[in-house]
Amino acid sequence: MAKVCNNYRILEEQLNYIPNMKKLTLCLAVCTGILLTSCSDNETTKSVIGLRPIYGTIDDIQNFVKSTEARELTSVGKIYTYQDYLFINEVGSGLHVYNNQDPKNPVALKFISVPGNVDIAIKNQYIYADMGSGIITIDMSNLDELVITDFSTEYLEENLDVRPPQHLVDQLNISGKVYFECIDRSKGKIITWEKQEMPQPECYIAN
Amino acid sequence: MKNFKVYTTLFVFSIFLLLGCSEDSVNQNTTTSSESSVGGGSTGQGGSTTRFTIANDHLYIVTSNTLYTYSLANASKPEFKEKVWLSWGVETIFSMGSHLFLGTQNGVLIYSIAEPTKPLRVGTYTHITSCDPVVAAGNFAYSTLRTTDRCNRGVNRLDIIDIEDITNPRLLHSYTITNPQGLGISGDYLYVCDAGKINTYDIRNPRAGSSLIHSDVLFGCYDVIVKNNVLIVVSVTGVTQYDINPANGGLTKLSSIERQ
Repeated sequence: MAKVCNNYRILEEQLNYIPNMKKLTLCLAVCTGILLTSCSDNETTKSVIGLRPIYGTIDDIQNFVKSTEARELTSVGKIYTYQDYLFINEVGSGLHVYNNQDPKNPVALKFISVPGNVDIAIKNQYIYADMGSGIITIDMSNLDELVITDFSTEYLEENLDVRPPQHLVDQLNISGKVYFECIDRSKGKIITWEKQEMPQPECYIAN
Repeated sequence: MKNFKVYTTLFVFSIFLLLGCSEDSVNQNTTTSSESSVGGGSTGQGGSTTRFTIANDHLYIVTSNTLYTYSLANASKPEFKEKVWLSWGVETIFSMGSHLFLGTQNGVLIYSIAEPTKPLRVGTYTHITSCDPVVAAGNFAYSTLRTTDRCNRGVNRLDIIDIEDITNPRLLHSYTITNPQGLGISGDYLYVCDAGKINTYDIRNPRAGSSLIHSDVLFGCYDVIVKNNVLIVVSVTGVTQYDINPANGGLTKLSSIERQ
Protein backbone atom coordinates (compact mmCIF):
# COMPACT_ATOMS: atom_id res chain seq x y z
CA MET A 1 0.00 0.00 0.00
CA ALA A 2 2.73 2.43 1.01
CA LYS A 3 4.53 1.84 -2.28
CA VAL A 4 1.54 2.64 -4.46
CA CYS A 5 0.88 5.85 -2.57
CA ASN A 6 4.51 6.91 -2.76
CA ASN A 7 4.47 6.38 -6.50
CA TYR A 8 1.48 8.62 -6.67
CA ARG A 9 3.32 11.41 -4.88
CA ILE A 10 6.26 11.12 -7.26
CA LEU A 11 3.89 11.19 -10.21
CA GLU A 12 2.25 14.31 -8.87
CA GLU A 13 5.59 16.08 -8.44
CA GLN A 14 6.65 15.22 -11.97
CA LEU A 15 3.37 16.43 -13.44
CA ASN A 16 3.75 19.81 -11.76
CA TYR A 17 6.61 20.64 -14.14
CA ILE A 18 4.50 20.20 -17.29
CA PRO A 19 2.36 23.10 -18.68
CA ASN A 20 -1.30 22.93 -19.63
CA MET A 21 -2.42 22.61 -16.06
CA LYS A 22 -6.13 22.23 -16.66
CA LYS A 23 -5.84 19.00 -18.61
CA LEU A 24 -3.44 17.67 -16.10
CA THR A 25 -5.64 18.50 -13.14
CA LEU A 26 -8.39 16.44 -14.73
CA CYS A 27 -6.00 13.58 -15.41
CA LEU A 28 -4.70 13.85 -11.88
CA ALA A 29 -8.21 13.63 -10.46
CA VAL A 30 -8.88 10.45 -12.44
CA CYS A 31 -5.52 9.00 -11.45
CA THR A 32 -6.14 9.84 -7.81
CA GLY A 33 -9.45 8.02 -8.00
CA ILE A 34 -7.82 4.90 -9.40
CA LEU A 35 -4.90 5.01 -7.01
CA LEU A 36 -7.06 5.55 -3.95
CA THR A 37 -9.18 2.57 -4.90
CA SER A 38 -6.11 0.42 -5.17
CA CYS A 39 -4.87 1.70 -1.81
CA SER A 40 -8.00 0.77 0.07
CA ASP A 41 -8.18 -2.54 -1.79
CA ASN A 42 -4.73 -3.40 -0.60
CA GLU A 43 -5.63 -2.49 2.93
CA THR A 44 -8.52 -4.92 3.12
CA THR A 45 -6.76 -7.81 1.45
CA LYS A 46 -3.60 -7.54 3.57
CA SER A 47 -5.33 -7.83 6.91
CA VAL A 48 -3.51 -9.99 9.47
CA ILE A 49 -3.96 -11.22 13.05
CA GLY A 50 -1.36 -9.27 14.98
CA LEU A 51 -0.55 -7.74 18.34
CA ARG A 52 -1.35 -4.15 19.19
CA PRO A 53 0.31 -2.23 22.02
CA ILE A 54 -2.10 -0.67 24.50
CA TYR A 55 -0.78 2.60 25.92
CA GLY A 56 -1.79 4.09 29.19
CA THR A 57 -1.32 3.95 32.91
CA ILE A 58 -2.08 1.21 35.41
CA ASP A 59 -5.36 2.97 36.21
CA ASP A 60 -6.53 2.60 32.61
CA ILE A 61 -6.03 -1.14 32.49
CA GLN A 62 -9.11 -1.97 34.54
CA ASN A 63 -11.32 -0.20 32.02
CA PHE A 64 -10.43 -2.74 29.35
CA VAL A 65 -11.79 -5.69 31.32
CA LYS A 66 -15.47 -6.26 30.64
CA SER A 67 -18.13 -8.83 29.98
CA THR A 68 -19.49 -8.94 26.42
CA GLU A 69 -21.66 -11.20 24.30
CA ALA A 70 -20.34 -14.69 23.55
CA ARG A 71 -18.32 -14.78 20.34
CA GLU A 72 -16.65 -17.27 18.03
CA LEU A 73 -13.22 -18.69 18.81
CA THR A 74 -10.47 -17.42 16.52
CA SER A 75 -7.04 -17.92 18.14
CA VAL A 76 -7.59 -20.83 20.49
CA GLY A 77 -5.46 -20.63 23.64
CA LYS A 78 -5.31 -22.53 26.90
CA ILE A 79 -8.28 -24.10 28.69
CA TYR A 80 -9.39 -24.04 32.32
CA THR A 81 -12.28 -25.62 34.21
CA TYR A 82 -13.97 -24.34 37.33
CA GLN A 83 -17.07 -26.07 38.68
CA ASP A 84 -19.38 -26.40 35.67
CA TYR A 85 -17.62 -23.66 33.73
CA LEU A 86 -15.19 -24.17 30.88
CA PHE A 87 -12.92 -21.26 29.98
CA ILE A 88 -11.17 -21.05 26.62
CA ASN A 89 -8.56 -18.36 26.25
CA GLU A 90 -8.74 -16.21 23.14
CA VAL A 91 -5.01 -15.60 22.85
CA GLY A 92 -4.12 -12.07 23.87
CA SER A 93 -7.69 -10.80 24.14
CA GLY A 94 -9.74 -12.62 26.75
CA LEU A 95 -11.85 -15.57 27.84
CA HIS A 96 -14.72 -17.47 26.25
CA VAL A 97 -16.95 -18.71 29.08
CA TYR A 98 -19.04 -21.87 28.58
CA ASN A 99 -21.50 -23.70 30.77
CA ASN A 100 -20.09 -27.22 30.55
CA GLN A 101 -22.45 -28.95 32.94
CA ASP A 102 -23.28 -31.31 30.07
CA PRO A 103 -20.01 -31.98 28.20
CA LYS A 104 -22.09 -33.26 25.29
CA ASN A 105 -23.51 -29.79 24.89
CA PRO A 106 -21.32 -26.92 26.15
CA VAL A 107 -23.25 -23.64 26.04
CA ALA A 108 -21.51 -20.34 25.26
CA LEU A 109 -22.31 -17.79 27.97
CA LYS A 110 -20.05 -14.75 27.66
CA PHE A 111 -16.79 -13.36 26.44
CA ILE A 112 -14.68 -11.56 29.02
CA SER A 113 -12.27 -9.17 27.37
CA VAL A 114 -8.86 -9.15 29.05
CA PRO A 115 -6.25 -7.66 26.71
CA GLY A 116 -2.94 -9.52 26.70
CA ASN A 117 -4.35 -12.52 28.56
CA VAL A 118 -2.95 -16.03 28.15
CA ASP A 119 -3.31 -17.76 31.55
CA ILE A 120 -5.85 -17.83 34.36
CA ALA A 121 -6.55 -19.57 37.66
CA ILE A 122 -9.77 -19.42 39.70
CA LYS A 123 -10.61 -19.65 43.38
CA ASN A 124 -14.03 -19.06 44.97
CA GLN A 125 -15.46 -17.19 41.94
CA TYR A 126 -12.36 -14.99 41.63
CA ILE A 127 -10.51 -15.18 38.33
CA TYR A 128 -6.80 -14.32 38.39
CA ALA A 129 -5.78 -13.35 34.88
CA ASP A 130 -2.50 -12.13 33.53
CA MET A 131 -2.15 -8.98 31.50
CA GLY A 132 1.16 -7.64 30.30
CA SER A 133 1.88 -5.50 33.32
CA GLY A 134 0.14 -7.35 36.09
CA ILE A 135 -2.48 -9.74 37.43
CA ILE A 136 -6.10 -8.68 37.47
CA THR A 137 -8.63 -10.21 39.88
CA ILE A 138 -12.18 -10.48 38.56
CA ASP A 139 -15.20 -11.38 40.67
CA MET A 140 -17.29 -13.58 38.33
CA SER A 141 -20.25 -14.09 40.70
CA ASN A 142 -22.37 -12.15 38.20
CA LEU A 143 -21.09 -12.79 34.68
CA ASP A 144 -23.11 -9.87 33.32
CA GLU A 145 -21.50 -7.40 35.67
CA LEU A 146 -17.95 -8.30 36.47
CA VAL A 147 -16.28 -6.57 39.38
CA ILE A 148 -12.54 -5.92 39.34
CA THR A 149 -11.41 -6.39 42.91
CA ASP A 150 -7.66 -6.07 42.54
CA PHE A 151 -4.84 -5.31 40.19
CA SER A 152 -1.31 -6.15 41.25
CA THR A 153 1.79 -5.16 39.38
CA GLU A 154 4.52 -7.25 41.01
CA TYR A 155 4.20 -9.65 38.13
CA LEU A 156 5.45 -7.94 35.01
CA GLU A 157 6.43 -9.18 31.61
CA GLU A 158 9.95 -8.15 30.78
CA ASN A 159 10.56 -6.02 27.70
CA LEU A 160 6.86 -5.20 27.49
CA ASP A 161 7.78 -1.73 26.26
CA VAL A 162 10.04 -3.04 23.52
CA ARG A 163 8.16 -5.96 21.98
CA PRO A 164 5.17 -8.26 22.67
CA PRO A 165 5.86 -10.89 25.37
CA GLN A 166 7.31 -14.13 23.96
CA HIS A 167 4.72 -16.39 25.60
CA LEU A 168 1.99 -14.41 23.87
CA VAL A 169 3.78 -14.60 20.52
CA ASP A 170 4.23 -18.37 20.93
CA GLN A 171 0.64 -18.93 21.92
CA LEU A 172 -0.65 -17.33 18.71
CA ASN A 173 0.48 -20.49 16.96
CA ILE A 174 1.56 -18.67 13.85
CA SER A 175 4.61 -20.10 12.18
CA GLY A 176 6.82 -17.53 10.51
CA LYS A 177 6.17 -13.81 10.99
CA VAL A 178 4.07 -12.60 13.91
CA TYR A 179 3.08 -9.03 13.10
CA PHE A 180 2.67 -6.28 15.65
CA GLU A 181 1.68 -2.63 15.37
CA CYS A 182 4.94 -0.67 15.51
CA ILE A 183 5.60 1.08 18.82
CA ASP A 184 4.96 4.81 18.94
CA ARG A 185 6.81 6.20 21.97
CA SER A 186 4.91 9.47 21.79
CA LYS A 187 1.73 7.62 22.82
CA GLY A 188 3.14 6.83 26.26
CA LYS A 189 3.85 3.70 28.23
CA ILE A 190 2.75 0.27 27.00
CA ILE A 191 0.65 -1.57 29.58
CA THR A 192 -0.20 -4.66 27.56
CA TRP A 193 -0.45 -6.14 24.08
CA GLU A 194 -3.74 -7.19 22.57
CA LYS A 195 -4.40 -9.59 19.73
CA GLN A 196 -6.34 -7.93 16.93
CA GLU A 197 -7.06 -8.13 13.26
CA MET A 198 -5.18 -5.24 11.61
CA PRO A 199 -3.83 -4.02 8.29
CA GLN A 200 -0.47 -5.76 7.92
CA PRO A 201 1.98 -3.59 9.89
CA GLU A 202 5.65 -3.15 9.08
CA CYS A 203 6.88 -4.57 12.39
CA TYR A 204 7.04 -8.28 13.03
CA ILE A 205 8.85 -10.96 15.00
CA ALA A 206 10.25 -13.91 13.09
CA ASN A 207 8.90 -16.69 15.32
CA MET B 1 -31.45 -56.03 10.44
CA LYS B 2 -27.75 -55.31 10.36
CA ASN B 3 -28.41 -51.74 11.51
CA PHE B 4 -30.55 -53.02 14.32
CA LYS B 5 -27.69 -55.18 15.54
CA VAL B 6 -25.29 -52.26 15.41
CA TYR B 7 -27.65 -50.04 17.39
CA THR B 8 -28.27 -52.74 19.98
CA THR B 9 -24.53 -53.23 20.40
CA LEU B 10 -24.02 -49.47 20.72
CA PHE B 11 -26.85 -49.23 23.23
CA VAL B 12 -25.45 -52.03 25.39
CA PHE B 13 -22.00 -50.52 25.11
CA SER B 14 -23.28 -47.08 26.20
CA ILE B 15 -24.95 -48.57 29.26
CA PHE B 16 -21.67 -50.30 30.04
CA LEU B 17 -19.87 -46.97 29.68
CA LEU B 18 -22.36 -45.16 31.88
CA LEU B 19 -22.08 -47.81 34.58
CA GLY B 20 -18.33 -47.65 34.32
CA CYS B 21 -18.41 -43.89 34.76
CA SER B 22 -20.35 -43.87 37.97
CA GLU B 23 -18.17 -46.60 39.41
CA ASP B 24 -14.96 -44.89 38.52
CA SER B 25 -15.88 -41.49 39.90
CA VAL B 26 -15.00 -42.91 43.32
CA ASN B 27 -11.46 -43.71 42.26
CA GLN B 28 -10.80 -40.47 40.43
CA ASN B 29 -8.56 -37.57 41.29
CA THR B 30 -5.28 -39.36 41.61
CA THR B 31 -3.75 -36.19 40.23
CA THR B 32 -3.95 -33.68 43.00
CA SER B 33 -3.68 -30.75 40.64
CA SER B 34 -7.28 -31.48 39.71
CA GLU B 35 -10.14 -29.29 40.75
CA SER B 36 -10.72 -29.41 44.47
CA SER B 37 -13.02 -28.02 47.08
CA VAL B 38 -11.13 -29.08 50.16
CA GLY B 39 -9.13 -26.65 52.26
CA GLY B 40 -9.26 -23.01 51.25
CA GLY B 41 -12.41 -23.08 49.13
CA SER B 42 -12.99 -24.32 45.61
CA THR B 43 -10.33 -23.94 42.95
CA GLY B 44 -10.30 -24.72 39.26
CA GLN B 45 -8.02 -26.79 37.08
CA GLY B 46 -5.81 -25.95 34.12
CA GLY B 47 -4.04 -28.00 31.49
CA SER B 48 -0.42 -29.13 31.65
CA THR B 49 0.81 -26.12 29.67
CA THR B 50 -0.47 -23.61 32.23
CA ARG B 51 1.81 -21.06 33.88
CA PHE B 52 -0.63 -20.56 36.81
CA THR B 53 -1.52 -22.96 39.59
CA ILE B 54 -3.26 -22.70 42.94
CA ALA B 55 -1.91 -24.88 45.75
CA ASN B 56 -2.21 -24.66 49.52
CA ASP B 57 -4.23 -21.46 49.21
CA HIS B 58 -1.50 -19.72 47.23
CA LEU B 59 -1.29 -18.70 43.60
CA TYR B 60 1.98 -19.66 41.90
CA ILE B 61 2.90 -18.12 38.56
CA VAL B 62 5.92 -18.83 36.40
CA THR B 63 7.39 -16.58 33.76
CA SER B 64 10.33 -17.72 31.64
CA ASN B 65 12.72 -17.25 34.57
CA THR B 66 10.82 -16.35 37.75
CA LEU B 67 8.38 -17.96 40.18
CA TYR B 68 5.88 -15.55 41.78
CA THR B 69 3.96 -16.42 44.94
CA TYR B 70 0.71 -14.75 46.02
CA SER B 71 -1.29 -15.55 49.14
CA LEU B 72 -5.01 -16.09 48.50
CA ALA B 73 -6.00 -15.82 52.16
CA ASN B 74 -8.28 -13.06 50.91
CA ALA B 75 -9.33 -14.42 47.51
CA SER B 76 -10.49 -11.02 46.26
CA LYS B 77 -7.08 -9.45 46.87
CA PRO B 78 -4.09 -11.68 46.15
CA GLU B 79 -1.20 -10.60 48.30
CA PHE B 80 2.24 -10.71 46.72
CA LYS B 81 4.65 -12.69 48.87
CA GLU B 82 7.72 -13.84 47.06
CA LYS B 83 9.63 -13.77 43.80
CA VAL B 84 12.16 -16.55 43.17
CA TRP B 85 14.68 -16.53 40.34
CA LEU B 86 14.62 -19.93 38.61
CA SER B 87 16.72 -20.43 35.50
CA TRP B 88 16.00 -19.80 31.85
CA GLY B 89 13.31 -21.38 29.70
CA VAL B 90 10.62 -22.11 32.30
CA GLU B 91 7.35 -22.93 30.56
CA THR B 92 4.85 -24.76 32.76
CA ILE B 93 3.81 -25.37 36.38
CA PHE B 94 2.03 -28.34 37.98
CA SER B 95 1.26 -28.88 41.64
CA MET B 96 0.91 -32.11 43.58
CA GLY B 97 0.49 -32.03 47.33
CA SER B 98 3.20 -29.81 48.75
CA HIS B 99 5.32 -29.81 45.59
CA LEU B 100 5.49 -27.78 42.42
CA PHE B 101 6.82 -29.31 39.21
CA LEU B 102 8.14 -26.79 36.73
CA GLY B 103 8.61 -27.80 33.12
CA THR B 104 11.61 -26.00 31.68
CA GLN B 105 13.53 -26.24 28.45
CA ASN B 106 16.28 -28.27 30.09
CA GLY B 107 14.45 -30.36 32.64
CA VAL B 108 12.00 -30.52 35.49
CA LEU B 109 12.52 -28.42 38.63
CA ILE B 110 10.82 -29.61 41.80
CA TYR B 111 10.01 -27.09 44.55
CA SER B 112 8.69 -27.81 48.00
CA ILE B 113 5.90 -25.49 49.14
CA ALA B 114 5.68 -27.00 52.62
CA GLU B 115 6.18 -23.39 53.61
CA PRO B 116 3.89 -21.87 50.96
CA THR B 117 5.47 -18.42 50.82
CA LYS B 118 9.01 -19.79 50.61
CA PRO B 119 9.22 -22.18 47.64
CA LEU B 120 12.39 -24.21 48.00
CA ARG B 121 14.15 -26.18 45.27
CA VAL B 122 14.37 -29.82 46.37
CA GLY B 123 14.92 -31.76 43.17
CA THR B 124 16.03 -31.36 39.57
CA TYR B 125 15.65 -33.71 36.64
CA THR B 126 17.82 -32.57 33.76
CA HIS B 127 17.43 -33.53 30.14
CA ILE B 128 18.55 -32.36 26.74
CA THR B 129 17.15 -28.98 25.64
CA SER B 130 13.53 -29.44 24.55
CA CYS B 131 10.16 -27.85 25.17
CA ASP B 132 8.18 -29.76 27.77
CA PRO B 133 5.29 -29.79 30.23
CA VAL B 134 5.22 -32.16 33.21
CA VAL B 135 2.46 -33.83 35.25
CA ALA B 136 2.69 -36.18 38.22
CA ALA B 137 0.67 -38.73 40.17
CA GLY B 138 1.83 -40.65 43.22
CA ASN B 139 5.46 -41.70 42.87
CA PHE B 140 5.78 -40.89 39.19
CA ALA B 141 6.11 -37.85 36.98
CA TYR B 142 5.52 -37.80 33.24
CA SER B 143 7.17 -35.28 31.01
CA THR B 144 7.02 -34.76 27.28
CA LEU B 145 9.95 -33.34 25.37
CA ARG B 146 9.63 -31.99 21.89
CA THR B 147 11.48 -30.06 19.29
CA THR B 148 10.16 -26.71 18.09
CA ASP B 149 11.66 -23.80 16.25
CA ARG B 150 12.88 -22.50 19.61
CA CYS B 151 14.04 -25.87 20.92
CA ASN B 152 15.40 -27.04 17.61
CA ARG B 153 18.15 -29.24 18.97
CA GLY B 154 15.74 -31.14 21.14
CA VAL B 155 14.24 -34.58 21.02
CA ASN B 156 10.69 -35.92 20.84
CA ARG B 157 9.91 -38.30 23.63
CA LEU B 158 7.86 -39.18 26.70
CA ASP B 159 9.85 -39.63 29.91
CA ILE B 160 8.61 -41.49 32.96
CA ILE B 161 10.40 -40.30 36.08
CA ASP B 162 10.53 -42.00 39.47
CA ILE B 163 9.90 -39.33 42.14
CA GLU B 164 9.50 -41.61 45.14
CA ASP B 165 12.58 -39.85 46.48
CA ILE B 166 11.64 -36.36 45.39
CA THR B 167 15.14 -35.04 46.00
CA ASN B 168 16.53 -37.55 43.53
CA PRO B 169 14.26 -37.89 40.49
CA ARG B 170 15.37 -40.79 38.29
CA LEU B 171 14.48 -41.59 34.70
CA LEU B 172 12.67 -44.94 34.46
CA HIS B 173 11.64 -45.10 30.83
CA SER B 174 11.90 -42.94 27.79
CA TYR B 175 9.76 -43.45 24.69
CA THR B 176 10.51 -41.76 21.40
CA ILE B 177 7.33 -40.35 19.88
CA THR B 178 6.53 -37.88 17.09
CA ASN B 179 6.07 -34.35 18.52
CA PRO B 180 4.41 -34.49 21.93
CA GLN B 181 2.84 -31.56 23.78
CA GLY B 182 0.36 -31.40 26.68
CA LEU B 183 -0.56 -34.42 28.76
CA GLY B 184 -2.90 -35.48 31.56
CA ILE B 185 -3.61 -38.40 33.89
CA SER B 186 -6.88 -40.20 34.51
CA GLY B 187 -6.35 -43.00 37.00
CA ASP B 188 -4.64 -45.85 35.12
CA TYR B 189 -4.28 -43.88 31.89
CA LEU B 190 -2.05 -41.16 30.60
CA TYR B 191 -3.20 -39.03 27.66
CA VAL B 192 -0.60 -37.31 25.52
CA CYS B 193 -1.14 -34.92 22.59
CA ASP B 194 1.29 -36.06 19.94
CA ALA B 195 1.42 -34.64 16.42
CA GLY B 196 -2.29 -34.56 15.66
CA LYS B 197 -3.18 -37.56 17.81
CA ILE B 198 -4.23 -38.25 21.38
CA ASN B 199 -2.18 -41.19 22.60
CA THR B 200 -3.45 -43.27 25.53
CA TYR B 201 -0.86 -45.04 27.67
CA ASP B 202 -1.49 -47.69 30.28
CA ILE B 203 0.27 -46.49 33.46
CA ARG B 204 -0.86 -49.19 35.89
CA ASN B 205 2.75 -50.17 36.47
CA PRO B 206 5.03 -47.29 35.48
CA ARG B 207 8.12 -49.02 36.85
CA ALA B 208 7.67 -51.85 34.38
CA GLY B 209 6.90 -49.40 31.57
CA SER B 210 3.88 -47.98 29.79
CA SER B 211 2.36 -49.29 26.63
CA LEU B 212 0.54 -47.25 24.03
CA ILE B 213 -2.94 -48.71 23.95
CA HIS B 214 -4.99 -46.28 21.82
CA SER B 215 -4.40 -43.44 19.44
CA ASP B 216 -7.20 -41.08 18.42
CA VAL B 217 -6.81 -38.54 15.63
CA LEU B 218 -7.25 -34.89 16.63
CA PHE B 219 -5.61 -32.33 14.37
CA GLY B 220 -3.41 -29.80 16.18
CA CYS B 221 -4.04 -31.30 19.63
CA TYR B 222 -1.88 -29.50 22.23
CA ASP B 223 -3.23 -29.87 25.75
CA VAL B 224 -5.72 -31.80 27.87
CA ILE B 225 -7.64 -31.54 31.14
CA VAL B 226 -9.04 -34.63 32.83
CA LYS B 227 -12.21 -33.84 34.72
CA ASN B 228 -14.11 -36.74 36.28
CA ASN B 229 -14.44 -39.10 33.34
CA VAL B 230 -14.20 -36.46 30.66
CA LEU B 231 -11.10 -35.63 28.68
CA ILE B 232 -11.20 -31.99 27.53
CA VAL B 233 -8.76 -31.53 24.68
CA VAL B 234 -7.70 -28.23 23.17
CA SER B 235 -6.37 -28.09 19.64
CA VAL B 236 -5.61 -25.28 17.22
CA THR B 237 -9.11 -25.67 15.81
CA GLY B 238 -11.07 -25.69 19.07
CA VAL B 239 -12.03 -27.78 22.07
CA THR B 240 -13.17 -31.40 21.83
CA GLN B 241 -14.51 -33.42 24.75
CA TYR B 242 -14.39 -37.18 25.14
CA ASP B 243 -15.88 -39.65 27.51
CA ILE B 244 -13.20 -41.88 29.05
CA ASN B 245 -14.02 -45.57 29.29
CA PRO B 246 -12.59 -46.48 32.72
CA ALA B 247 -12.33 -50.13 31.69
CA ASN B 248 -9.77 -49.55 28.96
CA GLY B 249 -9.08 -45.81 28.71
CA GLY B 250 -10.87 -45.64 25.35
CA LEU B 251 -12.29 -42.31 24.19
CA THR B 252 -15.76 -41.56 22.83
CA LYS B 253 -16.31 -38.09 21.41
CA LEU B 254 -18.99 -36.09 23.21
CA SER B 255 -18.84 -32.64 21.60
CA SER B 256 -16.62 -30.08 19.98
CA ILE B 257 -16.44 -26.30 19.97
CA GLU B 258 -14.95 -25.28 16.63
CA ARG B 259 -12.92 -22.24 15.76
CA GLN B 260 -14.52 -19.73 13.37
